[in-house]
Amino acid sequence: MKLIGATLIGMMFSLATLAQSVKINGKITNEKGQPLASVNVFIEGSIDGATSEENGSFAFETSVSGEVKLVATAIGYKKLIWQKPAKELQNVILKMSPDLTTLKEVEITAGSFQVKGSGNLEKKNAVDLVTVAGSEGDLYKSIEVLPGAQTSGVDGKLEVRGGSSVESQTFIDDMHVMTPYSARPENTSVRGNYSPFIFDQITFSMGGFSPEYSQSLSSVQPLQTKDDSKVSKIGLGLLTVGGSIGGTQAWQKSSTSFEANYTNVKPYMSLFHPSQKSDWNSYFSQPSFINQTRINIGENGILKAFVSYGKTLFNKNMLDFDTDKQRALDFTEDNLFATATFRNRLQNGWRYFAGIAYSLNKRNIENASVAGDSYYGNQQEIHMKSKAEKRFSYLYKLSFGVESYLREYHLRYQFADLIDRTVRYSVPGIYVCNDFNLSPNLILNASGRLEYTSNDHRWNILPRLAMNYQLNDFTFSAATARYQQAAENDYLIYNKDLHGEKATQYILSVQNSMSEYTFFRVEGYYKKYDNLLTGEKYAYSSDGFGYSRGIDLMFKSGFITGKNQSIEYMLSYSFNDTKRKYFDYKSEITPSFVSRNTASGVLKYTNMGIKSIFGLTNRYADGRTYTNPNLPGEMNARTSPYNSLDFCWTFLASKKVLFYSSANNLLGRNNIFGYLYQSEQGAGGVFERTPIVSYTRQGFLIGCFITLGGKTAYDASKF
Amino acid sequence: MKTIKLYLSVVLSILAMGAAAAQSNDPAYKNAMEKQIAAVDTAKTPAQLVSAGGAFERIALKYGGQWQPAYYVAFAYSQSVLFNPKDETVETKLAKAKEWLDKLDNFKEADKSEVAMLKGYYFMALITTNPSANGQKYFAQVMTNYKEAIALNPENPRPRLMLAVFEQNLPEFLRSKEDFCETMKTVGTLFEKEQKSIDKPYWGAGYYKMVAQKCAGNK
Repeated sequence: MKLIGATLIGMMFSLATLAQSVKINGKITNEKGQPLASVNVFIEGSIDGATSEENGSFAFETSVSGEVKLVATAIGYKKLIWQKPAKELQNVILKMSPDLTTLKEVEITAGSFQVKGSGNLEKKNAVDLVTVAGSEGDLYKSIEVLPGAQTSGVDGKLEVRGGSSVESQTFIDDMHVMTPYSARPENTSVRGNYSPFIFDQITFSMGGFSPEYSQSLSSVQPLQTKDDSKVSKIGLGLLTVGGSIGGTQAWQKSSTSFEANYTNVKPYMSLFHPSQKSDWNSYFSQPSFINQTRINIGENGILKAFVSYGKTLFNKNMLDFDTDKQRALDFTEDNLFATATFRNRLQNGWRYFAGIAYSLNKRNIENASVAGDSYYGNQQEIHMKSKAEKRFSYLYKLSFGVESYLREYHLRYQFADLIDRTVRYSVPGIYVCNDFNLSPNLILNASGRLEYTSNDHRWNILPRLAMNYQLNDFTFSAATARYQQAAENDYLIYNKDLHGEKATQYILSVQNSMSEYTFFRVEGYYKKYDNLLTGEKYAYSSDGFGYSRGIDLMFKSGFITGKNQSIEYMLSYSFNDTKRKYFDYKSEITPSFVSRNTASGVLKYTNMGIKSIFGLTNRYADGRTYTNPNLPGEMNARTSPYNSLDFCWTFLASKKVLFYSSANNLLGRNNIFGYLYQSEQGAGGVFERTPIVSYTRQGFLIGCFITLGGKTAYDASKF
Repeated sequence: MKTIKLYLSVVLSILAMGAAAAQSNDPAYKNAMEKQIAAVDTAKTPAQLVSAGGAFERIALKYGGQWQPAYYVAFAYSQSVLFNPKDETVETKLAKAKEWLDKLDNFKEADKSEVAMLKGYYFMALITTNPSANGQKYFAQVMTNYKEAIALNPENPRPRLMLAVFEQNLPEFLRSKEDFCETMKTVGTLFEKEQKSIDKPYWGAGYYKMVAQKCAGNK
């Protein structure tokens, strides 16, 4: 019995010895040997562990004995597992290597503005965009106050750094949008088809952009729609020119959003411009809708389908300046854009994307250019794209893609003779981007694109080299790249052999974020154009050339002025010098869409005490060139400078109701964008002229946005 | 023999059904949870909260069937951001909080009111890192989640407390018409009624006392 007792006591003693805790300690570092804090270190299968200190050290005790797995986990680093006897885990040094699948990518900043960011900590609300006075809630107009963008011409389209509006392209979820603007009558400013509230990320690239984006010589605007919309809601919008209704239905793994709009200028014109009633046989109207559905597939996959359709109708009396006769221009347009994209991130670090987009623009215009003519145009484009990327090491990331544009344009124009033509062509291409993180402060991108244009059977190589260097709070950036864009369909239809127009860009930039609110940027550029379109009267070729050079400056800041009050401001200035030998000009000229000096000042005052955001913007631009036939030469005169002082006021009436009002050109300045001259000399041998001015000198907009859903507040977005 | 089989199957079924409950009754689990909840309650620095967050993460990994440790991981990291929103590691902490907040959605038995409350808390932390940019963006998420938490369980004092505090930092017209000190009285009563158990979050009473001092002269 004593023996049994002694044995039991002995066993218990042994067990107690076994259960004695083992001390484990050591240090965690990154791959360069620098200490890592906040790393969770523990024995797998137990709760024994510790979090590393600032100096990377950790220490804890465990009762687990024998062979154990010591695990270290930290966000941004690969999970580390060490298998060893517990007793040997003293003074261990654990070296963690970065998880390249979660590495934050650094973008090259030359030529690019992230207007509305996607990072968790760097966001601009769509409200920031629409509360810029002069924007009228329009995406492109809010971009036009940024340096590098020209103060818009009479048509309101985006013109960048000496390039025409057709040199700027819009992409939704990386797929090309053929017609981003809605049509408007002559001398009336167009609007973008898409509200800024639809998008989660809006980037404005004025040049030096990735070869992923093709068919643009000057600028691209990649717009990313929301990946998810977790709140179900219904919204209503009432404007002086129409209304909208829409909303979102959210489920656990998917959501769908819908918006229907109807625009009709009749009430607005009757109220503010009653004297112009006789101009309209049928006022401008436009029903449209947008739908987007997003479905999460697997852990990281997302399928998105986006479709928008708009129909534009109006019948307006137009005065032919040459003959002094009126014609009733009858306009109908159908504009459709549909895209489906899928992207996914795999566990092995590869990310891939596939998408297809279809654009259709169909126009019927009676009395289009002269009384009695008839125009029918049908443009279609299919854009297919697939791309993949992977970071193989901290040093190197590879991305590549393949895509194709299939285009068709059918023109039928009936006047004295019938012109009935169709052009079809495709632009397939592949691109490869190599990103090198040469040091934490220096990144380099070497990339290229190979593109084929089926209309003229040509292969083109389009290289790009870009770098970013970070020195304290300063970012220095440089880029050079070559871009190509097919000639416009209106000319290809007469000469299918026209070559793609080309531009080689050189950009140097420096920017500094002096504080959370203060930022400045200086950027110089030089663009060299080749293969520009030349010729006239259906005989076109591609032997034009030109250049555009300039400098853009931007400074923005803000400060708190009192309780719930703040002021933000932005000053921007652009200088541009451009000359081109193109179209039917006999010499190198400065095109009419370019102003030599452009400046804008944006002021925003927020006072939550009175529930209001006030905006004031002044935009100035030098006069534009035009040809005065009474003088020798071409583009031999300039209009008087453009200036517009704009105001807007956003009033947060309640959590469910927002009011927005804006007024453009408060001073009523008669801005002249050029002149139309009679083709025959009048009395005294002088060509008579009439100025090209906006149809309405001043513009007013009043809107009310109501949210009917129960779970959202101060939200003008229906998506 | 049949009787033995039947007996065994009943026992096994009961054992399987009770596995999760057994985990929560595991003294090691209970001790670890109590220790770390106390650590969170008494934390004075972000580093202490990060340390507690790491410990809850270890508990959550070992006791995968329990939603409470996952809840506290997200809470501790969100809280550490609120302690020092300008710290250079806030992005990492927010990512950690979000990771565990997302995991919480997979627990059907999790207290929905507490989860909604925590989501609001996470967005509040996100706002403090950059109020000028994130305020407009996430303001509605904070309000919506707190209100949802109250609707799901009107007896939960935390969303009432945090909503009232959040509204205090908003411009006057954005606040609800409820009197702050009246709300604090209700919150105080609810905290008094609350049972302290590791089965359910019970933090906040200390913070309530600090906030309610503002109303001390209103009695």
